[in-house]
Amino acid sequence: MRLTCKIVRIRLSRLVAVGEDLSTDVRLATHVAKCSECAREWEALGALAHDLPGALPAPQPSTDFVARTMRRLEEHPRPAHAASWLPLPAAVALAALLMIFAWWTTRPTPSSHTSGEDLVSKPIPAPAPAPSVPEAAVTQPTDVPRQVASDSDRTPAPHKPQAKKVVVRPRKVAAPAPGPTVTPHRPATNTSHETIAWEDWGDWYAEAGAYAHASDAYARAYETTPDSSLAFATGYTAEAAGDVYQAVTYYSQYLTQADGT
Amino acid sequence: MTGYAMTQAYSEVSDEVLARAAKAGDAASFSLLVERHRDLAFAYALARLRDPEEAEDAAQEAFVRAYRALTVFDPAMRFTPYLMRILRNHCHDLLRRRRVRHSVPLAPQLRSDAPSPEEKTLREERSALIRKAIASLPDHHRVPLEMHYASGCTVREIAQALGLRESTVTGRLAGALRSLRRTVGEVNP
Repeated sequence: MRLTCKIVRIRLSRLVAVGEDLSTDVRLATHVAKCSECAREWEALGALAHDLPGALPAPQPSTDFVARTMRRLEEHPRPAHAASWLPLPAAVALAALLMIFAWWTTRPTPSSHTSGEDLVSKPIPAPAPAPSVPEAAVTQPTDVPRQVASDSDRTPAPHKPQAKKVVVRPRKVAAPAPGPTVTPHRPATNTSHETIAWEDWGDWYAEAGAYAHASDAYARAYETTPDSSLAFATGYTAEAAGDVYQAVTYYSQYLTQADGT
Repeated sequence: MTGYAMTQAYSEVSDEVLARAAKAGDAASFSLLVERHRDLAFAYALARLRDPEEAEDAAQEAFVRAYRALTVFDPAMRFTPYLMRILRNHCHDLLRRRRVRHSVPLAPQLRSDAPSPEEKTLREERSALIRKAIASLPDHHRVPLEMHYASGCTVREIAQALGLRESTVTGRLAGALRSLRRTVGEVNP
């Protein structure tokens, strides 16, 4: 690399900063010997570094620093429990976490609905693009392609799941969370409302990257409606979550059903 | 008291061993830690706060907080970054509380080699110019510069105190020198 004066001056200042001599860098020394401006810069930086300690005050801690500190320690003995000195920001953060947790555990969740009207007419999340589902699953009759993981950028390889993001399982009582659109993606006549609710949760968890929970939700949907696409989705998300046993089980069921069709 | 301070040579005992003993209730071990880290803590606090009394108070407070938080300190971790993080946060809080930041004019302690009155006057003028230029530097340049040239801290110590890599500290020192050279050097090269 060609040494320009600008680079040389930066390197000269670094030499001065660490207190090294110009002779430690032959290339710099050669340049400085030939360039009067850089030589002048070297001299000025050296003079500055020489003058700095004298120009700056250098107070020292008092001689009884240690004794005074130990006296302060005696005045403020260490608390028995770490939580009692919890600083205010940490306490606020903890309170916020507790509120989020409370909201999370009390939010609406899928349930065994006795009245299906609300689910038929209620908004259901629109299918998001999910290129990761194989053709076989997409072309299942009487069904809409299952959206296993919509965010292709965040979709991990099956062996690198991001299944740790969500740790709360869906509760069994309550309605599913409202979705952004009103387009049902499955005819209500073919599947039960409970299936749709669990499938919605499966989609939701999969989009959030919580593949273990998504797999559980799809499995619940599959229990109520043994559809091959649900079996595939269960197996796929189980694979993403690292649950090989469940993945093989549901893939097997999917293949069995696919052969039948 | 069965502290390490009583049974082993001071230099043989690592910070982490002393911290573990202090965590177990050995105050003498913690006093050794205070003595060992006093200068660095004070140098950093002085560079940040620019007031010797306030700096000493802040450094002591950091030690007190470090001691009180030893219940959650992991002895497997290093003590210096733990202490300096507490001190950095404390200094940050103190500076934030200052509505109007005041730069306390520190009394210069010129190193005199019995110069003539004229030389002395010139030197004082240049020193005043340097101090003024340093005061106008941004903190990320000024703090390492003052720790290095005023308190005599090494690059390694500054890196530990600031939680930075040594190469970063060197770069900041060099940047500070170049800035000073532009403002001071032109007047009196």
